[in-house]
Amino acid sequence: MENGREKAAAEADGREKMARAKFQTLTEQMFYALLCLKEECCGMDILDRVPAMTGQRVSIGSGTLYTLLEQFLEADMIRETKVTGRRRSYILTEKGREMLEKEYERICAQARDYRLIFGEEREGEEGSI
Amino acid sequence: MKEMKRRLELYSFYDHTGLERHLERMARKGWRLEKIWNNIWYYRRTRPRELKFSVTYFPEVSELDPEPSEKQQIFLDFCEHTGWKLAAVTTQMQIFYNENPDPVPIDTDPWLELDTLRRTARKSVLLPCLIFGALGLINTGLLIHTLQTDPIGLLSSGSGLLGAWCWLMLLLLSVLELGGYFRWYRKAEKAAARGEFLDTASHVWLTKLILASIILMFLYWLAGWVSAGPYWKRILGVVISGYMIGILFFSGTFKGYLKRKKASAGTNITVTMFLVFVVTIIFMAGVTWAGLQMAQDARLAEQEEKAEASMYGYLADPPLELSDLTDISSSDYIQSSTGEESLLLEQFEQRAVPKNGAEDREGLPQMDYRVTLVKVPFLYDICRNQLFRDRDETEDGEIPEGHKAVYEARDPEPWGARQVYELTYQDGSGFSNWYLLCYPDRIVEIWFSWELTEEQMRIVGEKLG
Repeated sequence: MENGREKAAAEADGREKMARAKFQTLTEQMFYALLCLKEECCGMDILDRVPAMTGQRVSIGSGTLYTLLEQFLEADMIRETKVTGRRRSYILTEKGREMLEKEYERICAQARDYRLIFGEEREGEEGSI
Repeated sequence: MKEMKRRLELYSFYDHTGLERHLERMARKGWRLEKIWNNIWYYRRTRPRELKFSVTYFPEVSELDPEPSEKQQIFLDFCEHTGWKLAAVTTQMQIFYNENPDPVPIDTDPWLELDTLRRTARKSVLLPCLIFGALGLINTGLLIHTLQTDPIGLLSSGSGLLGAWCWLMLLLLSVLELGGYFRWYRKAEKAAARGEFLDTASHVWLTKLILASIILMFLYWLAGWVSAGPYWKRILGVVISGYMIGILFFSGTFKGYLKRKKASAGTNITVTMFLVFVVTIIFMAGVTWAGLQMAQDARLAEQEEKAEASMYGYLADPPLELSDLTDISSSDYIQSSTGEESLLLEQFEQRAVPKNGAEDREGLPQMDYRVTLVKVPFLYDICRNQLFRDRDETEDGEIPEGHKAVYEARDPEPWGARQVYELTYQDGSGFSNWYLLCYPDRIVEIWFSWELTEEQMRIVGEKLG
């Protein structure tokens, strides 16, 4: 029995470590799913909101979203707020917010770097005209 | 017009894109997958149309769960929300279809899809595959050993050949499944690192070929089994074959029944296995009892027959009898024969022993012979070498020189053979009248209790050669 518990705890620990490693950076789908969860919403809302939010540029598959929500919960990035029948609603936790913030900083840094390289060129091009 | 089509789909567990393409082709032909039951896939006739199929995996569930778990139901709701309708479920594989020609796929992240598939494989596929592969490997090793030590025994037995083929095919299937999966997985990981999905490579045609070869071998074995030998043995072959197919159907149906009755997965598997065990024990006991009864009756009948007649066994009409060589009546002898036949070889043995009540029993001539008929020429040398080694003690280090029995070449002309050898004793006790006769498609081992004349040799050659 003790062994079983230890094994389960070790597995849970392993999963969490994996999730942490996985969330060092966020994929676009992770980013938008978390963004939706700034306000309380359920999985199906996220499926609808992400394409609307991105002008149909990004869509999350139902299987992918299901797995992501499971992993976000395991990594304490979101928490369940209410259960109505089979509809489960979630909201971003402080940790999830931090992850989003970190990802935002990363994207901004990339944008700054881009502008640093190509922005100067553009300015130069505009000047020569 | 047929409204339902049943098929046995032989796609690998990981071959989701191959399966999706197949299901889309079926839908275009007007057959939509409706359910999977007892490994049979049921297709309903619909109007031919373009449907998109998606094969997904859900490692947390069991095939025997009476109904979808809450988590699974949430997943199904998500899929339904995006237009994916559940077509069928088998073990941890869920098959959806979508009427939208360009739907958002169920899996949009290759890493997550790969991770789900990996967890499914680890939970319920890899271990059985490894066990079957190991069993196949062990048995293939044993077969190779038997091929070296007793090729005739193995290759002339229909049952031996069927068993050998099944183990070999099982090994091949396990290698195909495991090798195919790991190869694809390694490539899919690289593709996922680039953010891409990788289609699976189907080898369904090879699996079909393997299954067809097993079925053909089984039918051949069954035909051989029921067309020769004692009546009780024929019946036994049919009954056991029927049982093997029936028990698969029975266990599947019973599992389905318990599932419908909402029994838990644990209860379902325990009760089904217990019932299969009990049914098997009862069946085996019944078959053993009936077999013993029938064999006993047959033996009694044979004994009665032996008192009257002079022949029983594998050969209804032996090619050579003592009466062909001497003027002695065959009715003074009990002639018995045994034999086995396969696609590759046939081997039969004929013995003639004087009856107990025969006049001057000790003085009556005797003859035994064994014929190995080689149906496939490349096996000829292998068979001849084995038969040679069986009696020739030249290579036997345990027997001192000068005391060995060795085959010596004789003139094949009188026998009408290509080669003839006679077993002789080095210790000076002389010839044994035991001959090895090599004819183009058969090898004959024959023993006489007297020395043969050239004329008798000629008759033997005509009858057996």
